[in-house]
Amino acid sequence: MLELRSLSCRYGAVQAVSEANLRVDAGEIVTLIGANGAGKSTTLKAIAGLVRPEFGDILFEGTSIARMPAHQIAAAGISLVPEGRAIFANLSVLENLEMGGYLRKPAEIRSGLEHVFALFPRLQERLQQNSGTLSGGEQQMLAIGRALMAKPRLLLLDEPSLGIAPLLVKAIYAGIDAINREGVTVLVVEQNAHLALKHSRRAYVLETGRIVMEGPSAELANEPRVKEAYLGEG
Amino acid sequence: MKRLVPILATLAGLALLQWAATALLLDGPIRQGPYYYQILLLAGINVILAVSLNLTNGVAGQFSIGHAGFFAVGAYVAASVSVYGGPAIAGILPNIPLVRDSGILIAATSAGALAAAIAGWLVGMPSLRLRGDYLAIVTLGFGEIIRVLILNIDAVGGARGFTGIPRLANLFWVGLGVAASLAVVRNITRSSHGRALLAIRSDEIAAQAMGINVTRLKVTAFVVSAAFAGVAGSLFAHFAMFLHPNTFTFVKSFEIVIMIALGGLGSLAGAVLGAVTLTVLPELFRGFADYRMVIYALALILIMIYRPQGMLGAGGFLGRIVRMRWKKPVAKKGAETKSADNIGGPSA
Repeated sequence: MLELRSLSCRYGAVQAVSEANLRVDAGEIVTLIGANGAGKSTTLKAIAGLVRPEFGDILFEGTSIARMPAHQIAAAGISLVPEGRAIFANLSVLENLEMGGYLRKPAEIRSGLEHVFALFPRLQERLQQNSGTLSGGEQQMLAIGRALMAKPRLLLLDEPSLGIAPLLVKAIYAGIDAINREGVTVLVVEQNAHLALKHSRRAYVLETGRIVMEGPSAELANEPRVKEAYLGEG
Repeated sequence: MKRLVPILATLAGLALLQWAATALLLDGPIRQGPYYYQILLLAGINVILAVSLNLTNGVAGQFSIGHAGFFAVGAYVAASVSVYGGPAIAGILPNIPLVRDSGILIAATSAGALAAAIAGWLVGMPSLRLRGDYLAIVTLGFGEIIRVLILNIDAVGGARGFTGIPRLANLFWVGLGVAASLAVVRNITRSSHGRALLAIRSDEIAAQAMGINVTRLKVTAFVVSAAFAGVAGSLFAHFAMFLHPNTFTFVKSFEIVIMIALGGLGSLAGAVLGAVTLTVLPELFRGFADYRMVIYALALILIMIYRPQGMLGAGGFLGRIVRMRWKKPVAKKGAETKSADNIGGPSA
């Protein structure tokens, strides 16, 4: 469904991602783990069209999207949940969700809202509330709900557990699993490797812009190098 | 049909207003009538400027400080049309003064608005692709370039000023301009595009990821805003009958920015209130004319310190009354809040 072919991105003199090859098949949850500054977020931003790749190609369902503007990539069926939530703090919860369905018809927005409320009932309780007043976890639910409103086939999540109370992290990951069961392919970037490996089928490990390991999540979780560097064991 | 009723009502109301103003202020018993009439018209023109700038600066959050440039483009283009093209336009219209004058004014204003819109597109297209302060710098430069250009065009009077412009605008036309700008900006703000503009103001990257064509939407808002500045320019030209480049310095641009900051960024009623306040106040303090800029600067600093959201901005005391809605104070960030005690009022 998604394929990165030797993707390279740089910010001025800083090489953020170099020669990354990555594949996500339809229906999978794939995770990309790595330390701070390893290039995880840049990879996601490049897929979503928010960062222009320097070299390499990005294929979505067989067509190249590497040079497409971000809003067309969103229309093609890829939704990004940006790092740090990036909700529209000056809009209400409902307005945020409606913005997520910007490209959708009114009827689709209505059914989309019901779908989001089924996943995250907390959002329905706070529909008219200004979204800037939500807690961090609720904002993350809103950001994911907003991305779902676009009815994506591929959902990109950037650090969904960052700075969120453990109890809500659980609810958020349960939501992500449910979204995946409904047939949405998921690519999630995480610093919390333990959590990410538990909730994914396959994983890639990114180190200073390069993919150094890949494989089924269960196997990677037992890999000594991963254990030592990312799981705090061994 | 349903849309026609309010339009007709507005037209009738404005005609009545014009008749009343003529009877009372111009030909009437009030001693300083014409002076009040002039302030009324200037206030209307400033309202159009503030309401249109509010669309870019307030709603979309793109900081433009060159609105006087578009005002100037509209004023000079419209004045050129009525001065040089007036007789030709009059030739194809029936020789009834009201029809003839209205025809020339409509043609001139359309030309002014179109020219300002094109200027807005030319300035906005490259600079709105960038994020941050670039637009402010570009628009500031644009305003000055326009002024210097006009200074050097002899056909519009250059440094001597543009004279001989017919007086075609009156309270009716200015009122119509105000009504049109209010209606258009209000409809844009309440549409899904308006909400998308608010989203852009809040987070441009997330807005892009939602499938919003950020650049196109920003440019559209900017062009609409510039077009209305052009309308204001035309009305000003055909009311003042004289244009001089010194009217359109960056001080004028700042004045409009102060109007919307004072009223409340993003608030339509705030823009109107700010424009009226900043038209009337200098008149009340005529004696302090020399210190006007000092007072402006002080007012702006004090507003930013004590009421950063402006008089009618979100959460403002007056804003609360005007919108008749109650909102709980913002909950502390990071704290997990329970649902029941934290539900705000329905958003307007």
